[in-house]
Amino acid sequence: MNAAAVRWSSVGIVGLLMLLSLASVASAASAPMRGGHLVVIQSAEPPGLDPSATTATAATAIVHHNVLEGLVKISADGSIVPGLAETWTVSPDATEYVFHLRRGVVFHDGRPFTSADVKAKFQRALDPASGHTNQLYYASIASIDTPDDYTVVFRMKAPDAEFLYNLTRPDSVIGPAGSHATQAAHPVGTGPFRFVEWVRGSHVRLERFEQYYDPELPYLDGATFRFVADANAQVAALLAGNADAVAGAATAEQAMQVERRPGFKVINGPTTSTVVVALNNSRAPLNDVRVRRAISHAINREEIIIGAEFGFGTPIGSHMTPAEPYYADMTGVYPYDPAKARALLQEAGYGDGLRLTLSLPNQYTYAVRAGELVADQLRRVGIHVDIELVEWATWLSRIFGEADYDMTVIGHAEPMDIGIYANPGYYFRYDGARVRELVEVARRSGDEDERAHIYRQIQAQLAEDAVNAWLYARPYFVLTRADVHGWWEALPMVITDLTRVYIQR
Amino acid sequence: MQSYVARRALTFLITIWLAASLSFVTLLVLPGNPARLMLGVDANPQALAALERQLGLDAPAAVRYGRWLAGAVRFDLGSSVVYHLPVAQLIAQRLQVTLPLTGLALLLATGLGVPLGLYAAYRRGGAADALVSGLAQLGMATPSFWLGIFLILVFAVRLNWLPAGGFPGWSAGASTALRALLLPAAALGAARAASLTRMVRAAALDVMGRDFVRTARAKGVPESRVMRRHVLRNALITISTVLVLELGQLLAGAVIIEQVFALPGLGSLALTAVSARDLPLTQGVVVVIAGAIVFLSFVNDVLYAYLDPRIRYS
Repeated sequence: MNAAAVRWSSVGIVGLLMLLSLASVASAASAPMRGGHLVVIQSAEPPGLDPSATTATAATAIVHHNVLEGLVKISADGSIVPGLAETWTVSPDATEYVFHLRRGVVFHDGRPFTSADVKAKFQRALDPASGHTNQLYYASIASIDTPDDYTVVFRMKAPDAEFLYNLTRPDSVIGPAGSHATQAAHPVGTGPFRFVEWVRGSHVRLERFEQYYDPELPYLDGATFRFVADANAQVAALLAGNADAVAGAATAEQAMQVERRPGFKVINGPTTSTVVVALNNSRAPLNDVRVRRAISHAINREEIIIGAEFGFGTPIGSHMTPAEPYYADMTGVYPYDPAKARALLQEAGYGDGLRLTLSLPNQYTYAVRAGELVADQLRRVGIHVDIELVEWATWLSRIFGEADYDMTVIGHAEPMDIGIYANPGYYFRYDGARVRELVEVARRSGDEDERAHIYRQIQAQLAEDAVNAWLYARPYFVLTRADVHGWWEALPMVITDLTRVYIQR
Repeated sequence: MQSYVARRALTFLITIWLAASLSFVTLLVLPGNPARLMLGVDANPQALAALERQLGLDAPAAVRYGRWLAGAVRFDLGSSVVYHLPVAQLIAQRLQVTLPLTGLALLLATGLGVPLGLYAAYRRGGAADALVSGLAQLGMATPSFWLGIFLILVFAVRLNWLPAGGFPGWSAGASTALRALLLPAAALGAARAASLTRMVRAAALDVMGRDFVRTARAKGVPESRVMRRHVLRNALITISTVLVLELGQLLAGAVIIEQVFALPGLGSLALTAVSARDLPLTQGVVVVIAGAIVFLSFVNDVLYAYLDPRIRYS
């Protein structure tokens, strides 16, 4: 690795390792045992298995890192590590990225992996008609050159210091050139596991890929992701020995149910999921910053964390979690102060109270619980809240798509997504010139100290404008049998990475 | 009889057409679109439009409805938007779970409900009647999902006799597959067994009050023979009607039970289809379920004629 790459990795290490002292791959003292088939329960079945065609975390959790890989990967501690690229260099002004690919890598279908596959992938990511997800991440690419089979050069239209991070995202995984039409039903990648079958409504089965470029990995012979939506059924399957782990959306109650049982254990770590009371900044009376500040002052985060997550979760005051680099603590900007909230409402002309609707996505228990508490806390300062439960498809289309709402509660799971506040069309409908400018400056800056400083300013500005009322960073729970080891202890991105997981029987 | 069959066939087709059209309109009115669900939060408008075009969602509603209908009359239910697989294939796969599940549940309901109902009627007013009626009351009042969780905790978690959920597939062997269906079938069938017990008891009591039963007894026919030959045979008309209704209930109940036991059946497919706004898949499932219910009521009518020679259709 060259200087730039080292610097990038060190960002993650400095920014994260201190905070997540436990956040490294749990390594038992003894050497990992090979073999065994792991059954993992996850709540939702994905609509397809290609993360460049669907953003469903149910899909990325299964295939990202396990089946499909990108040029670079995120590791459990949040640092960026080599993936299909062994080394890379970034020009000091962040306008040129050169990747040196691993040699001798083959896809699960036997085809060799070369720079042509990389080029085909990113050309598709740039084509607006391709239906590729999150094309914003690649918008600054000007050209992709492949001087030889093992070198790829990206030239940027403008400096983009975030490009490398974006390459760790699930959208950036690489399959064989020309294969994207079949990837959703039968993903072919370079990962440690190859896809075997997907029985719709039941499970996805993976098997060890014998030609994986690291001959030591993976430890498991295979893994099955079983879809069980019901929380009670998930725990029952684990306790009855029909499954080895409950991953993904395990809740605090499930954790408490399992923790006490001998033979089982609970992994509890931080995530980058930012739970917010999102406010429609374009709608009266929420377009008045005094009303938004009143809402922030009226909210008691500790009470919400206890009520919605049984006390697990970290209070936050802006749109970043302690698990992300550049996090700054903004919880002190609006301390819980109902009197202040009432005064602000009075000042804004709502001394006699006002009425708002809070729309809650019914499939997310934490959001519904947190929302009910928020409604109660707001009532105490004279804001009458009507709760409306909406189903996920409706939430995405009406609230997220058309911003037809007053307030909603949701967890933004994507890491490093503060840039959404620079888009006035985003469903918060927040139009802040200063934040837009700062986000642009951060994107162009290759200097770590400067970036940290700018991101701190962005978080402070968002808090100042009380764009949303930020509640907490969601906890991450994995329930496993006691003999399952090597699981990620933190969730810097939504992945169920089984590369180093093993069963010690 | 011919004109009767023709009339029934016409009703059959109209019912299915109505059910499918109703589900089409419902999904149209519900907010949400599959392209947005797939691309999710940072989807840009061009990518969204491209995917909508790819999925055929950009056409006006009337055109999409026309396309679906044109396919359906040729027995082509189209292709699922989320799964990218033919709807007929998906439904056929799911029926391999739902049919045995409802079959087992029905078997359980009849096997318990009919003898218990007859017995309670036979011992009417006694302690046995009170016990059976009380149990039936309790069975009907117990929600199936709760019973499902309870059965899992006892038989899977505590005793470890049966799996806690999931379906290994018939390829894993008939006994393994059936074992996976036992607890769900029990949870699904219990309430139906309870309601059947009450229906059978009431029907039997009704028949037992009739003159021909009194005559039979007066002739000295043994009581067991009276119950079997006279009471049961005559009560069967009511029972068969109830059974068909129960089957409809079982199919509806399967939606919930399949969730509790994580079974890949038709019910969970319907749920997936609706929450993903997958129009062709939803309509396919609706057509199959509506068709099954209409067909069963037809079978019931034919059974009437067989069970009661006085009933004739013209």
